[in-house]
Amino acid sequence: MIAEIGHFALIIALMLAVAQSMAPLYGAWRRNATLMALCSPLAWGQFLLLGVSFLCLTYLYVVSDFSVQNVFLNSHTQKPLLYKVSGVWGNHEGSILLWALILAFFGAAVAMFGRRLPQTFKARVLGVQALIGVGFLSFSLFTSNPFIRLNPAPLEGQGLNPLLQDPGLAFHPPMLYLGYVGLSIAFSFAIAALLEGRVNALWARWVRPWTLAAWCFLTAGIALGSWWAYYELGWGGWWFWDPVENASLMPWLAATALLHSAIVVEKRETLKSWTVLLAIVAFSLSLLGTFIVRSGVLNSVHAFASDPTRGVYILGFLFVVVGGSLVLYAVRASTLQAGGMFAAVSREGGLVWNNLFLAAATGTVLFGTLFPMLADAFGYKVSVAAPYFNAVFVPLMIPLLLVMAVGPFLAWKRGNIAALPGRIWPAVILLLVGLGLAIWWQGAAAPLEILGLATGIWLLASVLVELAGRINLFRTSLGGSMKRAVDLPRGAWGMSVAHAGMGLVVIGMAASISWEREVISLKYPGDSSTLGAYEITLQDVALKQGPNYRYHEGTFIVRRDGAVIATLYPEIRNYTDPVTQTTEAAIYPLISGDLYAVIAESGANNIPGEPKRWGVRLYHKPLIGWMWLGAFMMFVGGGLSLSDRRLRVGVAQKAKQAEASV
Amino acid sequence: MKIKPYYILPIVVFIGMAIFLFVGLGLNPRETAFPLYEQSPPDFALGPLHEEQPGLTDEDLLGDKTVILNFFASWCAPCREEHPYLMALSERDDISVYGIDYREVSREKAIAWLYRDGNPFALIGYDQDARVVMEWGLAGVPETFIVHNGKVIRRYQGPLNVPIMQHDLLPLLEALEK
Amino acid sequence: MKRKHQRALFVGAGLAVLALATTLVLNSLGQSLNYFLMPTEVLAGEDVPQGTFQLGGLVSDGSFEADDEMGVSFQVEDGSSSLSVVYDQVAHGLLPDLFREGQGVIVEGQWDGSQFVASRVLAKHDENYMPPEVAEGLKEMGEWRGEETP
Repeated sequence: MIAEIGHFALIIALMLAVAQSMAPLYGAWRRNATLMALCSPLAWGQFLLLGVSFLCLTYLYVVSDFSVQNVFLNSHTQKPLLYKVSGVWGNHEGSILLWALILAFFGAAVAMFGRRLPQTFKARVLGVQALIGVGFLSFSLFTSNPFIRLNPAPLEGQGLNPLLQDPGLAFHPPMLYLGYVGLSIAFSFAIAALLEGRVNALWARWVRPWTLAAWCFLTAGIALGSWWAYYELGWGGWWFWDPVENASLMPWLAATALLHSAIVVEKRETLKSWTVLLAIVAFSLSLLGTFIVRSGVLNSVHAFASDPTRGVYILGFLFVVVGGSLVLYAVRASTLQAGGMFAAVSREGGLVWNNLFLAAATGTVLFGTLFPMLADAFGYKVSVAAPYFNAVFVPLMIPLLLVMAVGPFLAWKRGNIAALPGRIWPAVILLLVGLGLAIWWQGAAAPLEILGLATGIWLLASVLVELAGRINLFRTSLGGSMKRAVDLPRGAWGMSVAHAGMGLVVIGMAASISWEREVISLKYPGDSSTLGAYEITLQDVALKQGPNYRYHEGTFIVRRDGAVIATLYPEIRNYTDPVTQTTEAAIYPLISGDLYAVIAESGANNIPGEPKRWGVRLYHKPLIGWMWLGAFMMFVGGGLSLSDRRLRVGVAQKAKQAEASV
Repeated sequence: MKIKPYYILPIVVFIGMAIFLFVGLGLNPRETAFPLYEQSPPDFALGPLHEEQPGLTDEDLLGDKTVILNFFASWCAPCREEHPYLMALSERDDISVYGIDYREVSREKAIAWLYRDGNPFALIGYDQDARVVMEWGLAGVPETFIVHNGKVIRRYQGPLNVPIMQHDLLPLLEALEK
Repeated sequence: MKRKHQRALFVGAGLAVLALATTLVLNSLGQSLNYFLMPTEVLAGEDVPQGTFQLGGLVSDGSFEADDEMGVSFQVEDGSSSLSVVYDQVAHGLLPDLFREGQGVIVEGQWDGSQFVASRVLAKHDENYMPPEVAEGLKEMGEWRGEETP
């Protein structure tokens, strides 16, 4: 019964979406206010129905109703409740439903917060939003229905992969989806603007908060995924350049570019057509990410063979959305009036630079990700490995980061390059001191790694110097500076915090790669290893019982200069149903970096009655924690900007003026 | 309305990419379609897996009963997964379950496996050089075909599972019986 | 500065970045492509790359052995032939979690004429994941274990 309610709600939601995609768009064309006014209630209705549908599916998972095929294939009675719930979106059908739900949520949010939008514009935004919804809901209903029944119902489910039972992984997809789908709003605004033939500062003020919110979620989602890989996969890596990760990185890069070019549109009313194009591209890449990763097409073109309807639908939908919007762009972009002029050295110039490099980076990642698929289609089996991405991506990022440090010092329209050294010299000193300290602390490293580290420190230093300049630090009384700091707009704080976060991320990456120390060896309990300044002893390995697994727990005592500073407990877990072994790394975060320990069954020398030897792997990864801290700061910085009053109040007033002038 | 060339560039690039992908997919030599659909099974005559038993020929597929023809190999893990479903099917009187064993590393291993876990197949053909497998257009093992009234009417790629059994195979057998 | 000049500057900068990106891509693509072979293809000896390539297949049941110094060896098979792979965990890291006998695997390394000396063993974290090259190779060789087709 519950499954049928969910199924029914899904069908009605599709019908509402169809209505919502037609009435307001037609109404906006014909200037029919009644039809246009339909868009808000329809958006709300669609959201509520999808909410019901999603809750139904969640309920089916919680009670383990295996008469529903999706639950049977992806859940299990022995799963802890958290993972029953996260199992709802841990599979293809459920994740598409979640996608549609979030899409409807954003639609409803536009309906609610967009009361001051010009009527035709709002109708068009919600109409376009609903068109995407129609695509997703019909995909769900016709090819990936989560509510299909099995009769008779099996007694036990099949989905119990212990590796996927992890909080990091449970919340990683919804975060990413909030980001992906948030970009749909920017897309709908772009399409609506093309239909209206008008892009102005007001438009950019509308688009930016949505893009910013989407960007925050994408940042958090990517960071969570990377963190999960770091502590769960058990070999200390945090980024693998695998298609799934690239699919989330590409929209992030495009959204980052969009965020910055929208600022130029807002302040200077220029770069309009480029910004609109970015909005289209960012969402297209999100679609590519969701669909292609979920459907497995990216793994191999032959995934089509296993389910042709799905593959054909996906390609068709992508083609219609991306192709359609780009055709509209080709026809209408020239109607957008060019805006103000600016010099090459200026804030705008810096942002253009940012956009060029971000676009190039996105393009190279896209190429590397799709290349194996292309080659495969032509009969060559190749994989594009991490060396390609490192060799291409890093050189494109370094100039970007260098300018990112300088950009905020430049004035709008025409920056004064001669005055720059006078303002930025403290950052150069900070850079030299920081770099010197780092090398004194950890020793020399390869030139490229030092360059990466220097870039990060440079970025961080310049953010601090820029902020100090803004609040007149050391030039007025401390109290005066404090007051200025408090009065600084939240948007300015947001930028500084986010940029500093990026600096920390870069430092964390470079330092942890440059100065990683690693020991891999076979040890009897009682043996010690030396890892830099630390002496680490494998004290004992004990067999224990967990909730649905048995595990070997190693006890490592960490000493520094003879004093015990930490105890680490890595585990090897053996699950029985299905028979799976996972490694749980133990991580001890120090300010200076993480100590990371893993044990493994060695298979060697296991003579009954004799002590067993264990495979032991120990890492010291300097400053790696800065990466997660930096990502968190980027998230917070985005949030700060989002809370800036100018983004909200200003819009309201200007929108009223615009409405009055229409 | 004037259309400027550089605004067309994005769509041109996209169409280029799309064409490239579609052509690539079209060139894929392994057809996703199912060439034997509604056709008579191709001619073949295979020797047995176990020397003392009969082999399998296309004639065997043309009897009155509906035939379930399963391609398998003992080294193939998914084949072991679907094994219980084939065992269950073999107990029905209205159908015959036949197997074609494909490329064993050792025939003894295969025989031992069927002896240990049960043999659902009334007849087994042994296809060492993969000729019959090619003619049936297999993408791999396991695959299962249904032959009814001398025509191949279904193909399942990959292991049989609960959804396939419940939503397709069993309802189909029921429909054929009527 | 006129609008025309500004546009020319943008286009110039855009082209320069594009050229840089293209150069980087072309330079590194050649070195980073990994060729992928199945045991039968390696044993047939045709077109076996001199340098590093990837080998895929199933880890044979009962073939895994570990020595005292954390070196391991196992057989990788594709249904018609198998060859032996050696891997040194001290030099290249512990085997991944998902490494199992009877499971698909990709190893990266070099063929010395009698055995495959691996420098990397790949396994993945997706539930239904089978490295695409392995799935494809095994399809050709006769094994299939893709996702379930409802």
